[in-house]
Amino acid sequence: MLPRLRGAWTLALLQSAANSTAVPQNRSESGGTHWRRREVPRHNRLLGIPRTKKMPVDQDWSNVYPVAASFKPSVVPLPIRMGYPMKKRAPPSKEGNLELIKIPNFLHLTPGAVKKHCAALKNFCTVWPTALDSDEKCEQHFPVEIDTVDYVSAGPSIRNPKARVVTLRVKLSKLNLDDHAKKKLIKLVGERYSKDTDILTITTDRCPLRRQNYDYGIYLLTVLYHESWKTEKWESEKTDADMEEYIWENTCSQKNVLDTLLRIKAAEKISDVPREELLASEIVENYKNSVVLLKNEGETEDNMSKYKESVKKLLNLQGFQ
Amino acid sequence: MAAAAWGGARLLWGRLRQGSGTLPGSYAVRVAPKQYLLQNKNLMWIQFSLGTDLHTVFQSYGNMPLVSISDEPDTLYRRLSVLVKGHDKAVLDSYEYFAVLAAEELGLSIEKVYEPPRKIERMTLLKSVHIYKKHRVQYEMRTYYRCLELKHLTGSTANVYLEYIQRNLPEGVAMEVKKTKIEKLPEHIQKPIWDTLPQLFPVSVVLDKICSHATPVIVDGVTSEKEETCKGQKTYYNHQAEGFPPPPPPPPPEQLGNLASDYFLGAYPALGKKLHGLNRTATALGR
Repeated sequence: MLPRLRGAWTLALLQSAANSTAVPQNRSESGGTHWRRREVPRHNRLLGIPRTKKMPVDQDWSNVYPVAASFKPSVVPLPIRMGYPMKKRAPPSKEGNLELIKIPNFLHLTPGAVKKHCAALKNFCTVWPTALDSDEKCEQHFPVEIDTVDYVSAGPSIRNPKARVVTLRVKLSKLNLDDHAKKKLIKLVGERYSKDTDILTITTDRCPLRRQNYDYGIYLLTVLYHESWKTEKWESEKTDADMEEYIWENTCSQKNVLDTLLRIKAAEKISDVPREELLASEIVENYKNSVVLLKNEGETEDNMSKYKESVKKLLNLQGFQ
Repeated sequence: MAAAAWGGARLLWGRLRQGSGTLPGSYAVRVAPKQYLLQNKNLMWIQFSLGTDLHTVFQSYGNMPLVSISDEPDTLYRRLSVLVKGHDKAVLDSYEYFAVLAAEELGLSIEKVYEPPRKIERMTLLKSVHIYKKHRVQYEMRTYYRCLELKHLTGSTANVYLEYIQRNLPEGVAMEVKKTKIEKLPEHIQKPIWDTLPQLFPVSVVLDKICSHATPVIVDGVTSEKEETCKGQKTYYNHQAEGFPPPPPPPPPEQLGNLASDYFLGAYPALGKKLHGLNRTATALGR
């Protein structure tokens, strides 16, 4: 170096030294420009100021976490601690805390953000018709209920085979059925009908798709309805054991009562009263009602006492207790 | 923001039940086709780069409405039951708060929110790979539940709410949604068809599927005036079509009427094979 340029060169050297970064510049001694691999400078985060310190207090939080994202300790300005504490120590702080990163956070779903989302989504919603405000009205106008289940879960496949099951429910009182049709329908469906609630439940899962199962359910309902209105030749062979409820006409009970009454009348020497008048008389009606009650509903205190009263009246045994 | 991104990225069909529901006047009356704006934007970019004419490619999305209304009536859900399952109770607590808040903001009526009891599945396994039967290790898997029941939703509202809820479902949480849809009775069930249809040979095949004790009677397939039931209709069963002429082509739809079976068979011929075959032989007799 010539002495007269020395000042300038030293100045330049000093300047470059001042501009250099804190990382020691370990270049090789031979004077080359190649970096040793482990000392390659990386982005030095320690030098940056965390965003939490630069945040204004009145900011919009949905700009910080607009979508679901993992927990970032430099972005969330809360002094959270999570994890098992060592002896005589507090739980670990948020910096480098894997527990905080693992757990799903709801930072993107603060109440303010949810309100904004819902305000935007409100345009796509429709209003429930005000005329159908109670369950009874719904049932009256829309008697058929269809139950379907959707499944959402994570896994190798988003499909769930249980999602194809469709359950159809309808009250038989809403269908246009006469007495014979209703009894035939109940016999046809068997266990699918519940007597207490008068609801017919059809569950279909034999088809691979939900739409197909729904169509099949409607088809079954249609076929059942139409079949129950038909009367086959062999239905005239219905025996007493097949009857769903006890009908008093043409039973031996009716014959016995008539016989008894006729004999009573004959013993009292009254002229022959026609059978229809006897049948229509109040005593026989009473007796008939009590017998029908007993047979259909079973033996209860009420029914037995009614039967007792009607028999007493029939046989003129008012004195008996 | 998420909301703006939503609105920009996807168009949803808003369906209006005829005659009911109130909507602000900014809705478009005409039906716009579904568009995926992001994809179109990409396409636009490619077209730009190919050097095509700017005017033909450019479409303005600014005044394109996001909501479109179609003519089909909205479905009605009497009840919507959302059950979430997870391993962590705290996560389910937060999710319940979010779901309830969303429902309230959208104006949905919440019937009840409750917590079904948790289920723990425990297993006891051998600790070692080989022998050491006396030393075991026990694992358990805990499943917590939370159920949210909403009532009286329309189909559009339910779709919107469920999509919002499901997109924000946290990791490791599963959901089951049970929908109870209410419907009118189908038209074919209003009245029995036997009075209206002339000269039909109804063939009951469903009986042997539904009701095992009903044994169909095989009658020779000749019409006879004496074989009339009390309803005034003629009933025939034909199981094996032996010696019958080859089946004619199926009759035009007006003859069979509005039978749901006809509709069903038209859609799924594979399912009703037996019925279909029998219907054909029945109509052969009718000629």
